[in-house]
Amino acid sequence: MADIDKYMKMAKKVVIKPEDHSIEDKIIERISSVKESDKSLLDGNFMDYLKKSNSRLYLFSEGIKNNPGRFILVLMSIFAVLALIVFIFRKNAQLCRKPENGRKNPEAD
Amino acid sequence: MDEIEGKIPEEAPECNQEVEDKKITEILAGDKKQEHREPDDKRLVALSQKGDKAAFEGLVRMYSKYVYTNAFFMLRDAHEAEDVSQEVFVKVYLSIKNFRGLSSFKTWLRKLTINTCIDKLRIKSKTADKKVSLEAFEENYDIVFTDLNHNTERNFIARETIKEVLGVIVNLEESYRIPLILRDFQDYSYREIAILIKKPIGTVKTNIHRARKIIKDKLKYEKEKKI
Repeated sequence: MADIDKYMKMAKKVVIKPEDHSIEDKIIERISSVKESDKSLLDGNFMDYLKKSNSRLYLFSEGIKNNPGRFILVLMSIFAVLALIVFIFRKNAQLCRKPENGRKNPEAD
Repeated sequence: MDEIEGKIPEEAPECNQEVEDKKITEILAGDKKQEHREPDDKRLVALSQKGDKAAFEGLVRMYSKYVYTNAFFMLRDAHEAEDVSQEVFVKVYLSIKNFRGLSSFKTWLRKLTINTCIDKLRIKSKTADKKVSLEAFEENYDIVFTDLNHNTERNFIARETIKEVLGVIVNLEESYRIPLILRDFQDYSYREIAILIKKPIGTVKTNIHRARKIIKDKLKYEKEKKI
């Protein structure tokens, strides 16, 4: 299967040339003759796609749904960093308190 | 042109080593050009949004073959692929002002092409499933390779194998071909494919696995036949 994956990766970058090699000119010609009636191509499906592709929230939620593992990993990393910060903060606070106690005792004596 | 034709002449490859090396240099140069494509297309998109027709033509020249190739593999029909390419660019032309650029233009175009092809496939699902012979595929279509390494002999073998792989893919049944192309060529997730083709995710995974196995078996068979 590893070989297949290698060739599939290479095949992914292949481009097929049209038979008559003039696809660009045909498209440009088609665009130059766009009429009002062509707006019917922008049907419900297309408008829905356009709306979704312009929504940050939708793209973000799709990203999570398509790759939940990565999202969980990111959440866990954030949680780990936060836990580390809290731990360091508490440790520092403890270290600050200890010498104060130490100093108070001789003063009391 | 940032692409080099991958068709190999009939003569032995070692006779044309100089030409081959030149081609590879050009391919590598092409790849470098491709790296600079992103800023270029951003500028062209921005100009097109302001109504610059020449800039839009630049986008057409940049991506028409990419759209055509995607449509061809989905529909395996040259004329329909051409129609879809034109339809996609008309849609883009009419709506480019509303494109906010949250994803790259290429991704937006690719997804639009796939959606248009899926719509076409739904319409023609009742028609007979036609097959393209491997010979006809190789004779009628110029395959352009944009990613090859330095070793010329390896390149030759790789090109031939890729042609065989593409021939097998084009001839796969629709239920195997579409999920495989979406997954391996278009980087869709299994979930997205399941939604697009309206099939359960388990079926999608099974069909992709089977399609890969068919390709593997056919390649193995061809290799054994050659020996």
